[in-house]
Amino acid sequence: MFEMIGAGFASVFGLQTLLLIAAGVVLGIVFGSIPGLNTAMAVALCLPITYTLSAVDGIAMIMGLFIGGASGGLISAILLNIPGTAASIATTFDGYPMMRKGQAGKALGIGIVFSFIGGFLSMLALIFVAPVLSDLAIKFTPIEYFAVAFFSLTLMATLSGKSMVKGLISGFMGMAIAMVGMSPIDLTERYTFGRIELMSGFSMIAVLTGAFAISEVLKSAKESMGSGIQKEQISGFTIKGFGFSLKEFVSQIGNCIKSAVVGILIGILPGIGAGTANIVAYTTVKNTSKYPEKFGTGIIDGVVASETANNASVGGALIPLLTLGIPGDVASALLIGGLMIHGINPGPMLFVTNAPLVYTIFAALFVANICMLVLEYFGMRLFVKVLAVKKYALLPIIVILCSVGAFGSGNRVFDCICLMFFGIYGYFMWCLRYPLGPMIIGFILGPMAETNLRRAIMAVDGNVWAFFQRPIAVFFFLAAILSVVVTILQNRRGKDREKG
Amino acid sequence: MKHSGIIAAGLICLFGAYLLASSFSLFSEAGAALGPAFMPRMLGIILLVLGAANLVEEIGQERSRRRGEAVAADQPAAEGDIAETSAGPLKGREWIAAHVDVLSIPLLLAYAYSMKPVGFLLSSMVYLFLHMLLLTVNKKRNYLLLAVLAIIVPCIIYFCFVKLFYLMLPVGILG
Repeated sequence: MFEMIGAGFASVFGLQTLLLIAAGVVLGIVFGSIPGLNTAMAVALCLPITYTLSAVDGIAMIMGLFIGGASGGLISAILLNIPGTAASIATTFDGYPMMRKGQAGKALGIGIVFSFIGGFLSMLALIFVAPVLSDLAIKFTPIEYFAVAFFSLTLMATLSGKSMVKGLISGFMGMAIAMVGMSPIDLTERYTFGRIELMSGFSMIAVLTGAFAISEVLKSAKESMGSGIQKEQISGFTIKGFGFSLKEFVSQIGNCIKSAVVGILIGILPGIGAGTANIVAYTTVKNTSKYPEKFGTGIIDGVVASETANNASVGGALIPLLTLGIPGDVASALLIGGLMIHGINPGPMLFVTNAPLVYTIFAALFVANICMLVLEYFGMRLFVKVLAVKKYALLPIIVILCSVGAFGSGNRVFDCICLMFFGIYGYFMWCLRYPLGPMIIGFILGPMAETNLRRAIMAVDGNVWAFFQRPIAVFFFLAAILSVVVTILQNRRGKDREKG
Repeated sequence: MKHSGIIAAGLICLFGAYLLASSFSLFSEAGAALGPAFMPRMLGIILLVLGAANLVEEIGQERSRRRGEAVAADQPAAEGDIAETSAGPLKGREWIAAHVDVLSIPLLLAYAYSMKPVGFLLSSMVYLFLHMLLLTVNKKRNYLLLAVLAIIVPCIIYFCFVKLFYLMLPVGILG
């Protein structure tokens, strides 16, 4: 394995590749730090660029975007109390109070260093867990795949937020959208209405970019009518070294490991990424802390928890992507699109057919992490300036670039039209308070569940009991039941608390 | 909008019913245990049930809201309704600013639909200019700057992708 890792690093250390990673990190940080823009958007914009790059260069750049996007949000979270992306919501809880106490530099330093550590730990997890999992996954039959998809679909309920009914509707609508096109196995046309463009179904890039980038543009359009972030609002800060002492660093190690584990585990679960990880890690660290009452008053523990976890989820999200072909979050779902353009199908066979590429991904992640540490630290003052960028020009330009991405994925204007429609759909869903997270899970995993269920039933001649004779499948079915029960109990507890 | 939650729930019910009904016209000669109709039928039933559940939920919320309004007429407005609650109806630019999200939608659609006949370059320029005008409706505009941006940015994007990254973009009438 170590030779493979070495080879991976060797392929990343070309000038062009390094520059692309650095460019990815910078763009990721910019998109992460400006409220209303997110990592998925940055990936969608860069996809058309990666089409013409080699697979290694393209993936290296996207890894840079992932890492930059997950950590860029901390700048506006700390300085303005506005999280740049959902990944740094919890950073505002303690980061902003720290700034109010005059410790902005310290908060930023801690955020950047622990983002690095979180990313590094998750990369280790990826390197050691992914090959083992893929060895296991290679033995999977359609029955196991169905069980995994079934379990993952139950996460739609977990992701639903306040109204479980609305979350489930959103998820099942995602599955319905994915049904358009040829049905698996027997290739019957479904819901194509005789249109040739619909025979291959909706392009994943058009659906995901539409729902997560174009809808954000519509949201931000309304917000941009206000005065926006003014240059005067952004206060100055001073920072010496990384702004914190060695003693403070040592005191946070336990906290950091806890948050990294939370981040990695949440990253692994399909459909949920940095946006959930930072909040869960913050709550976990707060609840297990010796001084939970101090959280929210501006202590470093809160910043450490949030920033470690959001970067840790990046490596976590890549684990199911590389081993099972299931994306951990929206941004990595878009990565699948990028990989497929290069003829690479993510899944357990990747470690057999494209092992060097897998190790290149690990190496790129590592290099991107170091780039992030260096660029974000030294470029902090520049990134702060970006926050005052004029939204009225930025938003339409994003729309144009998203259209290029959607068009480039299949060379059809039809995909641009779909992009807009899914953007509008996503926006109205958001207005009506239907969460969009479950929709991605349904859209991506619906077809996987259907294909494997039908294959499996054919393989066992319709004898459903055979499903329960396979230990791995049974494990996932039990996990699915557990996940549903836990969600229902939590919801009930939440409602009781609201009433009480 | 009033009743939007109820309307959405109703639409979901209708969509579920449509999926369920249409699944009966799907069949395959392959004769597999679960045919192509299995998934649409299942989704149809699930969406019908969930939509109905949501409808009940929404109607309940609407009722309690109305009761709440009767009790306290001066309750703070819900998020997103800020524009409507300010004194008197909005006029001209203010109205546009308050509805900028809805007004952006036709622009997006027009842009996507015009790309094939008109070409990427021209449609992007027109779209960029119009959308920037819309987004600056309540601000002081520098028309020259907007026009320059609208011309230069699509050109840069076009030449980057076509010349550097060898991506074909629709040329339309310019081709």
